[in-house]
Amino acid sequence: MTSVVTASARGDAQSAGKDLAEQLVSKLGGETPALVFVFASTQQPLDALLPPIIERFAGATVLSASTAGEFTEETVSKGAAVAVAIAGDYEIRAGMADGLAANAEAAIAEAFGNVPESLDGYAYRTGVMLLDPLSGNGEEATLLAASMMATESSIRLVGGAAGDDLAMKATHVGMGSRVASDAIIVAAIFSKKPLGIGVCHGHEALNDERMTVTKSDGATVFELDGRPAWEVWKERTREVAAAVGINVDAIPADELGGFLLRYQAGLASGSELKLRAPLSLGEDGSLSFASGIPQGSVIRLTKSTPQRQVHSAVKAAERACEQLESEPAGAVVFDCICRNLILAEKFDDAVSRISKALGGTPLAGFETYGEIALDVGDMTGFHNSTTVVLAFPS
Amino acid sequence: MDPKDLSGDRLTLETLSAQLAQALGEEKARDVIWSATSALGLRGPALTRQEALNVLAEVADTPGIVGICARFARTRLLLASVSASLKR
Repeated sequence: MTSVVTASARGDAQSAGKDLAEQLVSKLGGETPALVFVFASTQQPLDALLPPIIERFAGATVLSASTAGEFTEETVSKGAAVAVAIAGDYEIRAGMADGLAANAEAAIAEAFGNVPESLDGYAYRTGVMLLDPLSGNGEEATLLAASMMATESSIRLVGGAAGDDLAMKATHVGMGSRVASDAIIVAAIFSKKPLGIGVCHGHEALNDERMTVTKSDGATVFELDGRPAWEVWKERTREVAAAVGINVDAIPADELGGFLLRYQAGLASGSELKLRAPLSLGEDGSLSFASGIPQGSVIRLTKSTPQRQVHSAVKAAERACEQLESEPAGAVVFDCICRNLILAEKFDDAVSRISKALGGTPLAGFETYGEIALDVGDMTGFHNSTTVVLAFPS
Repeated sequence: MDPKDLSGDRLTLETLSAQLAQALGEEKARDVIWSATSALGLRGPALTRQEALNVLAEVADTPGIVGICARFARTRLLLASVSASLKR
């Protein structure tokens, strides 16, 4: 039997932390959670927010991330904090490491140090990752983690890349009382029933035009078709952005992050487009992404519509439910901030419809700068503009 | 046939390329697989499992995302090989 309960709070971080803890305790009705996620705006610094929660749930693994927005089944907010507690027959093992930008492989190895391959009596292991996307190693970290889990026939990973309310300056993840940027958390949820994972994105190609990455280094793209990347980006999005009231030649600094997430790069893969979101603009006109974009890559620009954003979010929830062997008890949702940007005030409706697709059960999640989902047979695990739903069985 | 299917005795360059395309895009994936195949003096359109593993090992030496993708693909191919031999 699983219980999933959620809470949301705002105000000063210390009070919000106490409020979250008290709400969770009240809703749990005496049950002890195995796992607690805390997702918080940069206005609720994790260092100040977490202590009351860690104190209340000393036996639980508490994982946290800064966000670009946070929500539960009841509340969609900015500048606030949400938490979700999962109680039931679960065992959690987790590790954390920093230095993700300089050496993703060493960071993954360190984070995996405390995560066993199996636990007696638990047939299923689902990996959860939270990471700092500004390290530029999102896909790299995900594939390295998957490689470390590859002794199993079925690798399953989910998670999200932390946000910072679109400032694109510093994002944080935490495990227990340790909070850091340039860091990664790897947790394993050992369960007796399979968890449900649903993934779907709502972007499509802007047009048939293709651009070749002619100069890049790691996650930074300097040139497209031999010209500064930002110049090309503006040129190719000028018309479509104008249609929604955006002048690409006069984007306010505090709206640039949002603009970049609206029109993402798409790499062709069969009939699908693999989305890569630019997160920041360099003074030299370069664009930095959350994952490596090798020189020679061919990209297309993508866009989305509100309808597609809602549809894809619901689809992700439905897919997660289909993988459960019983009714859902609740879910954790990792949702790209671009959905919020595109839907604006209609984003509440999207969250309501995700909740409805999950049978009206509790859910909590955050607006991410990247989403992680890697299932059996997948050769990629770091996504953008995607909704990832991790559903727990009743 | 599913281009991502790794169960056959011989693997086409298209199949190997499809492994990497999910993270690198088709064009870059094709470029690195064809280049590595050529560098090893191999010729397509199909390779033995060992040749395919060698090609992915060659690509795996590339720094950054390309090398990491190839290492993951190589791990997957090794697991598929073990699985295929157990079924025989």
